Amino acid sequence: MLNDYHNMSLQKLKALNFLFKQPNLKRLVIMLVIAFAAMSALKPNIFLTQDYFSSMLGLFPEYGIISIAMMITMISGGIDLAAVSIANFTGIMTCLFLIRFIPDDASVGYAAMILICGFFLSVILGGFCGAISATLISKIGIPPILATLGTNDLILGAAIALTKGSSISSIPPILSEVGNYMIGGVIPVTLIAFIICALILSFILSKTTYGFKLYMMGSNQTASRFSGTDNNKIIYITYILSGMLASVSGLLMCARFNTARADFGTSYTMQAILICVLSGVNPNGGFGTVAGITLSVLILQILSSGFNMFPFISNFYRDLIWGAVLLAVLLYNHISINRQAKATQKKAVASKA
Amino acid sequence: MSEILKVTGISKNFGGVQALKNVNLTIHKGEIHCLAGGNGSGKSTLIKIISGVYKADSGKIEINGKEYRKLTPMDAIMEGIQVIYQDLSIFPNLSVAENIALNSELYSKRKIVNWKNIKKIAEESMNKIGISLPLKEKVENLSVADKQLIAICRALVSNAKLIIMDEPTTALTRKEIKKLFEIIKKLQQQGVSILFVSHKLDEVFEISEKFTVFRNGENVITDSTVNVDYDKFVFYMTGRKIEEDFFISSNKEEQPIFKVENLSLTNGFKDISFEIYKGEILGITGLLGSGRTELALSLFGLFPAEQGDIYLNGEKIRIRSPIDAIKNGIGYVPEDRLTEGLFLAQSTRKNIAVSNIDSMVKSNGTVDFDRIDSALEKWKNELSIIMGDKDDPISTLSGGNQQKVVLAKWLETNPKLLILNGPTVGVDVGAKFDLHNYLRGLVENYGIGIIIISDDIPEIHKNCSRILVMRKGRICSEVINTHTTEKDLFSLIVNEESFIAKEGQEEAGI
Amino acid sequence: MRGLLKRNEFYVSLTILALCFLIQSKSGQFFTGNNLIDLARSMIIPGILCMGVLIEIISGGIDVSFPAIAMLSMFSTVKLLLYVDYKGPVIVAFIIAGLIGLVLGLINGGLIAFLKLPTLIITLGTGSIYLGFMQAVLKSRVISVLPEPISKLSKSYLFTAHNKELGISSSLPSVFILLIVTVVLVYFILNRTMLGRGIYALGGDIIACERAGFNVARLQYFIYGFMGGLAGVAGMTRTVLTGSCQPTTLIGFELTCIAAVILGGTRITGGHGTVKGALLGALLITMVSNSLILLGVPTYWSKFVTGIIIIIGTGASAYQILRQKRKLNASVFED
Repeated sequence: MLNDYHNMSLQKLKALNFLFKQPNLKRLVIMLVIAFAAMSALKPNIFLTQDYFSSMLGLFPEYGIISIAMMITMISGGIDLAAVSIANFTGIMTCLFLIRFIPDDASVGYAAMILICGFFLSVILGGFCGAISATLISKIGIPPILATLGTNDLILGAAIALTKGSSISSIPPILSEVGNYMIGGVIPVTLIAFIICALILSFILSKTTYGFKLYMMGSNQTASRFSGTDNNKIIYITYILSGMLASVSGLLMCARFNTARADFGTSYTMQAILICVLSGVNPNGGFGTVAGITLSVLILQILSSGFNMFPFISNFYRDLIWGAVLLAVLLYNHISINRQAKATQKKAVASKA
Repeated sequence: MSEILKVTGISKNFGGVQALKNVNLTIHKGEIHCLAGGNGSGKSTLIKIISGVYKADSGKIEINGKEYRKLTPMDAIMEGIQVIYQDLSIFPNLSVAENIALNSELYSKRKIVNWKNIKKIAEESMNKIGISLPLKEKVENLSVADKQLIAICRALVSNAKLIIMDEPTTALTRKEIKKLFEIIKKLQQQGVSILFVSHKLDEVFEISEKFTVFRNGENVITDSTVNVDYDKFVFYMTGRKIEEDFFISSNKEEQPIFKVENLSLTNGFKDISFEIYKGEILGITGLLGSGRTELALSLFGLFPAEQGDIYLNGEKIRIRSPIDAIKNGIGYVPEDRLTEGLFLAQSTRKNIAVSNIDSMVKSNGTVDFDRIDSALEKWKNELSIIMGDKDDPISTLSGGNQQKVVLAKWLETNPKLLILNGPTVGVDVGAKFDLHNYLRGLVENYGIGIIIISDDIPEIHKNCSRILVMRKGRICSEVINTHTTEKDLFSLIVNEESFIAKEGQEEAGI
Repeated sequence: MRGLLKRNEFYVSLTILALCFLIQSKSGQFFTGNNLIDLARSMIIPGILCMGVLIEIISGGIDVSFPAIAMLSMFSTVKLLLYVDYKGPVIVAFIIAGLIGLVLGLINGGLIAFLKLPTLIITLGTGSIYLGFMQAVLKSRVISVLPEPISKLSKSYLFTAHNKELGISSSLPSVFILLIVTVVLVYFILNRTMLGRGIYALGGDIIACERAGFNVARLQYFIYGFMGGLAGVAGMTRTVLTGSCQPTTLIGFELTCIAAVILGGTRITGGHGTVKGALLGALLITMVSNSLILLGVPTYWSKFVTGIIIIIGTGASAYQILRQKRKLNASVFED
């Protein structure tokens, strides 16, 4: 019953599998090394300085965490277009909370305690927002792209309504103090936050039964159901995790800018998707790693901040570079997949004879 | 010269694999010819060569007496050769009329759509075979049988002289199959030849005058259908007389392992009651639409029954979802393993663990990959699974080995009852035999209850000690395999005298 | 299942009517000439773009690069015309913008036909490139002084309605004609040409489409090239409407257009969709953001309300399909 078209796509699947695993990480590492080397060689005076490193790493945690959030939903075969709005919304709510509960004359200890409370509330709220998306997807059956589109507007709308379109200022200083603190003067707290998130997610994905089932469900939802997996539960956990990660990222953004707005990082959504695809996440589901995301974000950060060193290249080149890198990677993937598919088809046909 | 198609000495090699070796096929005008063969026999390849999609490496193709050195799809169509693939290739989102007329509109190279013309073409075509379908209806709302009729109409629009149908009856009910055959006869009267690809003997008998069997890319035989009987046909198809012994129940228990009472589901089945005891293999069979698949899915929790009770080892249980089923020790090996049983892009290793993953954890709760690996080794040996690297995608395994992995996946969950739906579809003969033997071993050695749901009559007959026949959602007969002949079983299923049964009567001198 | 599509358009129409009467009863200002003209005016850009999005989604694809194409075409054309101090017929501006958009769209089409990867990903990449190119290489910024022919057009109107009660008046810009032309054109293509049927076929079953003899690559080129051309024209129209060239004006608009088209009954999986439905969807979304103020709802709630409408709109039909899947077919008891 397998006609040759089916055969060919099976072979492509196999080849895709290869590219989305170790060889892919290897490829990303090579790209990273090249990018790093290129930048160091071109502008060693600027690039290799401590200040520069720290500032370059500045945006990295936010991007990284949102990208991880996007990745887990993509592994499940869906997508989370609401992540950034969740980040902003929870950021706003947290800042309002801090303003409400930290008086101007509060002690540092008290402020820190409220901050920690605020952090946990923020994460819970983010998870709750994610649960809304999950309900639409699993209980109502709306395709993830449309469900999160709707949730995005809903939450963004709520955020705009809360702030009436303006930014929230006069946030107690504890937030930006903690958020911008550099441990030992070198390592930003935000980076630590990212590392913790990355380690936790990496553990969840590779070592827990949830992670196992997530990859399987992403590959084939029907077979997953037939194998006894509670698909709905997996979807809920996925989008709740995504929402929680988004809220962490949102808090980092608020700390950096020391304000909260409803429309921070509107381009982050598309960029997160870009990072995911670049890192080898299969948009149809079933594959993706935290390591891959980390490498991709690093590469793009190095490239874009590297280009910043050249005065005649403005900030706006970020979009251009990312789009170009994405297409270049897709083209490269396409060529190597086809080459591999043809080779493995010959092997498979021979073995089935 | 009434030969519409004559191919001689056709050979085709794909990347080192000889798909066809010197095959011949001749079809006369107005002839209904059946092409039979198992998976990998080369029949699909030959069809693609006849229709110009593939180019033969060597051999001669003559259509209507004209020799073609390099046949293109366009040539084939011009000569009146039309292929109806198993997936029908129609557009679910377009209307009946459009689907029928689309090809001809395309070939006329018109840019603007003439709806009146489309309607006319569709009506004319439907008249040719005497059917009437609502022209404006979107095809996705129609049944598979209607879709097939639309595909035939489409083929007729371009004055087809030879229509090739690839396994057209797989998804049709008995009534629909009869309707299809009526239409094929009508086409024959109009001088159209039909090449009918099928492996079902009863169909071969019912509709075709001549048949050709392929095996491993070579001709085995071409003959008139009056000259063949069941055993000969199986021998031609498989090349060996696979004599399976009857599986005989070793039941000594009083208490059934599994029992259902008055199970009903709207639009599925009604008042189903049966028991299965230790030591027996229960078979449930019936035509498509008899409710057998619905019953299977219901027992596994995918479509929970609305009424009735289920008992496992005497205890009443509720099965509301596959998770309930698994918790109660019920496993289900599905009909369509590609979409329902396997995660093609994932590794064999992961595929084997997925149903039991919650138990395959270490004391700290993390996934125990070592345990998964040892499970894989164990089943690899027990079931003789041929595979490459355990991390390779399972898509690289052959159909038979994939099915073994699916079986292993369920055995890992330590089931008390295993339901298998069409377990050997698309599995080669050797693996089929292995699988049957293994299932028998499971029942004899481990006391697992096994239900086989299938429409493969020899499989059911030989391997199930007791067989339930379903029709119209109810159980209509129950037989013991050693007390029934295959032909009688077939009659029970179709509830009419089949050609096979008639042949049996002739033999017996009735 | 049969009436599902019809039902979707029905629900949207119903919602629109309900909204109309709600607004009318609350403010008495809905069915006034000037409000209707404002509404029509707000429909111009979404309407044109939604027609292109409709074609793309019917074919089974999703395009998120068209706002970038629109802005890039718009900006380059304006800059070009300013540079040569253009004073000729204004139609040339539209032609140039359209051509630039067409080329950018054809690049999309080529990559999609060649790479055969999800269209979302590819257009994500090209969209970033186009946007980045405009902002970085062309150093885009707001241009408030437009070439003469364009600024003349932005003051040209078809007719005006006066609102005596509020003492304001609204005029329907001449470029409204572009919307009408686009809608008629797309309707014709989709329902009267083999090209259009090919687009539906492609969205229905890509394999069958190839087998039937359609040239899939050529279809993709048309689909994305056409969208590009429309986007270019829409971009120029935007400049005319606002009277200035703002190169960030349409960022994020892609999701709004996609939502509008889906709301109107087009299935995201492809193969289904009508011009009428897409227009209704666009109308509903436009109404929500425009006319909320007449309900006394502050404008900053409009995103929220839009979200609710999208969820209800897509949820209703999705839920029907879900419930359908849970039931068995009725064919079992036939024989």
